[in-house]
Amino acid sequence: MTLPEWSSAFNDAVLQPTVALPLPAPTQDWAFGEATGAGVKVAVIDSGVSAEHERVGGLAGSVALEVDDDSPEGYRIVDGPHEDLYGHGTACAGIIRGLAPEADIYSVRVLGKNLTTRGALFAAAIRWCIDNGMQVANLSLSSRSEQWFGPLHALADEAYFRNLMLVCAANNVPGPTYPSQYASVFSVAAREGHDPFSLAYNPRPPVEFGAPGIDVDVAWTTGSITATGNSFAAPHIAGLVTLLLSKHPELTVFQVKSVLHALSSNAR
Amino acid sequence: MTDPTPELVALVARLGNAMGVATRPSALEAELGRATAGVRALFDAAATSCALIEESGDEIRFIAANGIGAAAITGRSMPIERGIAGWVAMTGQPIAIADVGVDPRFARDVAEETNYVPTSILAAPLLGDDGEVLGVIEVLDPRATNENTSRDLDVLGLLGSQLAATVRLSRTYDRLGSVLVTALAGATGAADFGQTLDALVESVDDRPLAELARAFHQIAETGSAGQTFALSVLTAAVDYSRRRA
Repeated sequence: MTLPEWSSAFNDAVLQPTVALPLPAPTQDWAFGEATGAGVKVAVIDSGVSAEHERVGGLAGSVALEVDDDSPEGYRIVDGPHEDLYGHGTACAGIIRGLAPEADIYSVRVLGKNLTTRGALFAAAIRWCIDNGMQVANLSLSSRSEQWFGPLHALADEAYFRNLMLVCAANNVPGPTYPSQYASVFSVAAREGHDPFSLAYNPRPPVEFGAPGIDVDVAWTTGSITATGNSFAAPHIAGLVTLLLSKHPELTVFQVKSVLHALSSNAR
Repeated sequence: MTDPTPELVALVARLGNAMGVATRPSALEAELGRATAGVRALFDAAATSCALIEESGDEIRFIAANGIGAAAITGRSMPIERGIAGWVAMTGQPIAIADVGVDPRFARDVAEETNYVPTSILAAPLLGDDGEVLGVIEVLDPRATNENTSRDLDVLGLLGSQLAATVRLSRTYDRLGSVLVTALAGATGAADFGQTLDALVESVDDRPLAELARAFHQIAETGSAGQTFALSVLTAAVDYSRRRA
């Protein structure tokens, strides 16, 4: 099957073992046992989220970034409930909710119905997450623009130092995209399997983590669909990070990465 | 030799573009038409179609189709967020759907307008070398499929990549003059010079020239008898214009 770019790296047949630290390894129970995601603010930067969808079960808040050529920044931030313009954001939010039933999920709508946006709006969405105390942000979108490499890199670094975990889907098609390939983010691709707690670490980054994203059943604007894409792997990792933070809120970005590395199926 | 003015360079670019259209090896529509017929035979499918993403990025347009409903879908544009083809165009991800009837992404109304509503669909992107999605190839109700659809999608994906190369080559021919001028401007390192020329070339409406070039291309494909006839018509038209002038 023509898999999303980077997915083949996570195929069990080729996945190399990765050396675990010679320390007492965190167990799944230590990391996620009894965790619900309660108290953790998670942003879904996407096409909007249908708050009423049964797999989403309500939102803690919603903002939409819209083009405004009259404003100096070229956009405006509209606070308040909105709809999902395509279904993509609802799919991502549904996956996170499935793992973290009590998380505070925020919809940060930046994509239009054609799943595209301007670089300035994308950057502003990440800025909104930093400024509004989000702890996790799911980015199942990325930019191919070299022009935005620098600004997005600076934002990703700022998020890292503010302990905002940016969980980014690698692009489905070849070629570098940002911020999904920065060292400061959790870069994710799709792998086979349906166990939401199953993950793998790629010893040959930039894409580091693999999670279910091939033929997965996901929420849509109405009902659900079966879909394949790195877009649906990232929210699995975002959900796990949310669970972990609700139990261990003191962890930093690199510590969370270390825990996920230790829990990867190929860590020896 | 004096430095060329931007107007002169833009004119050269326009003429180059028209030459490209007139001299390209074959018409893209015909090429994609043959491809959809071949893919339909390969998969023993009810129908196949090939759509390209419009320059705006907001729509896809069906350039060629084969099989049931082909005439109704060819030439049709639709918003990129509609249908299975739109999904593939936006995500760049091949897809196999066994029952489109239960998939909310399926544009049933569009299918009904073609008088054929499929049950299953295979679709793959026309993916350029750099990861750019140029379009989508769709196969409706394929009968010659493998139990594991992965192989079918692999095959369709490979064909999609080949078609992407054809589309890119055709577009390069169509914009031959612009491509050459842009390359020259880039080689001199004069970035603003290149930008100026790009803007000039973009701003000119070349449709009449392009249509004329397309007509010449079609005449060239008709063979010697057709060419002799076309020449006599053209000569008569020129004589008439001269007398009127």
